[in-house]
Amino acid sequence: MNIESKVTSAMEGTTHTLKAGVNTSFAVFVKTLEELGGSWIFFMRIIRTFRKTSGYKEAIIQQIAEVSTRTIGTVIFAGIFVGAILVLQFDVMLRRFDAQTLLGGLNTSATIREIGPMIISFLLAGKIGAFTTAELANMRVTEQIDAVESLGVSPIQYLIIPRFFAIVFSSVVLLAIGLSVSVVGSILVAQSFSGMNMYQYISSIPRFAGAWTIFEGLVRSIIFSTIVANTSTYKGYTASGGARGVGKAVTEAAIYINVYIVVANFISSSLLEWIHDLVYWFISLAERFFF
Amino acid sequence: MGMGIFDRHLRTLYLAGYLMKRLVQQLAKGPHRKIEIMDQMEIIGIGSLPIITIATGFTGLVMTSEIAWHMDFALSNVSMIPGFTGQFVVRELGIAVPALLMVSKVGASLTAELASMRITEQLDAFKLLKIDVISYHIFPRWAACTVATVCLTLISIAITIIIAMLTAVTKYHFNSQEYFNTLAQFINSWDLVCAVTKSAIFGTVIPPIACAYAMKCEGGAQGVGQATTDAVVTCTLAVITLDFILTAIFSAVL
Repeated sequence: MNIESKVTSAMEGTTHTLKAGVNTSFAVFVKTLEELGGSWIFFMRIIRTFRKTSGYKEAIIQQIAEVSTRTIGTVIFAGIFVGAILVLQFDVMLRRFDAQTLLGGLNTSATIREIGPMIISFLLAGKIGAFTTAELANMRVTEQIDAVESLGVSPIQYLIIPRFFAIVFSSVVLLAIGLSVSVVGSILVAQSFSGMNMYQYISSIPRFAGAWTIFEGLVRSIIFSTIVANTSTYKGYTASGGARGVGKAVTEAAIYINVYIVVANFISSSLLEWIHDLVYWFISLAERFFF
Repeated sequence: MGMGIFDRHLRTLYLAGYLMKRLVQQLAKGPHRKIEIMDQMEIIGIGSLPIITIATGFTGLVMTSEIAWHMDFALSNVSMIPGFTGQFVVRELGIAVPALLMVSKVGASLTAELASMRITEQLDAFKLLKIDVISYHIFPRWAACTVATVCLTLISIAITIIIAMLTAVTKYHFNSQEYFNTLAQFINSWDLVCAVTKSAIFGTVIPPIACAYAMKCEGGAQGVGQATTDAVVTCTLAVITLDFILTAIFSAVL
């Protein structure tokens, strides 16, 4: 084998590997786009069906009761620990700057606006999202959804819509509860672990956290809840292939919800910052003209 | 009824503890099953890389603007951004976010795989052939998950800090050299040791819990879904609780 043929074969090998890599990344890209498009179409289908039809009150209330009673213990448990972790971290950081008086405000603001919603939504993705996906996927693979359809009832109307709106509503409420618990928990941890005076901690909260913070937390909660509800019902509704398919659907639902939440966190953060600036610009403008 | 649920979870956690003991014993004594571990590392580690990259990249973007907002509000200057971002990423967010993603990616798929093997009676077939499931199936996944979580955590810290630096450079007009100089004052090698320890512990506890729920799974497709849900929730709670305990220990020691 002379050197030229060696070089040629090496180049062929490299090209082959590169092609395989490009093909794989292209396949991943196409699959992600498919997922996004499928979820979006499913979401529009839900909204369209909901606007056309009525009479969901009882079914939604029943689902809300089921979802929230199943999840509330876990959310409270996680909320306390999220607040506690953040207090410990911020305490160590602020001690270096000798700015421990700001601990309460910084921690409360970060918990409500940013990290609290994200981590508690990760938990809700596991608890509510995976459960709903498993339930619907099980109905799909045992052909119960087909049975509903063959009886002339729309499965979206009968199965999906009550679950979807129940998850959105109860997730928002559960996130609010979780965030309040984590604020209280962080007060207790600041008192017992980092030796802060409780009143000093509480008195620094209003410097950072106000109506805008709560509004921002609420907007994030609504967005994340919609993501959990839509992705889990979509993955459950489109599952296929026996017990293995159910497991696959649940796993994929958990992953996609987490990735969507992280991306939505970034987008909502930028948008809310922009809206915040806009609102305060208008307020300052109004002040200049009217007062 | 309430006690029944607690009882089930406690039994599963007991099984997880037993699995942990067996896995550590096998790590000490062998067989080490290096080829299977390599295969699993490719599936678990390389397979989770795209998701972790995307998620932590976006986290880095958010972190910088959030911390800048807070700093601007509290101290009305933004020169502290590098130190705060770096500390928060290396100590907390760069570890917790990959660990939680590993729970839903690796933990859920381990449970789904093993649970569907159980309800299709493949585990009974293993028993019949005198093959030890813990040694043959769980051990390679456990070892691979531990190593992969540590590596992915280090990768994610690097990605988050690089993206945070780029955001700071483009949005808040930092100089990249200056950024890294400030960063180096606030982060030392102890922080990285803590990060590696934390992530190794997270990676170690995820597979036994996931596999314990799978081995307790009963009853058809519904059982697989239930087991996966339970495993994800318990692993998430375990990660959050351990995170608190380890943070408390490290902040007391250092």
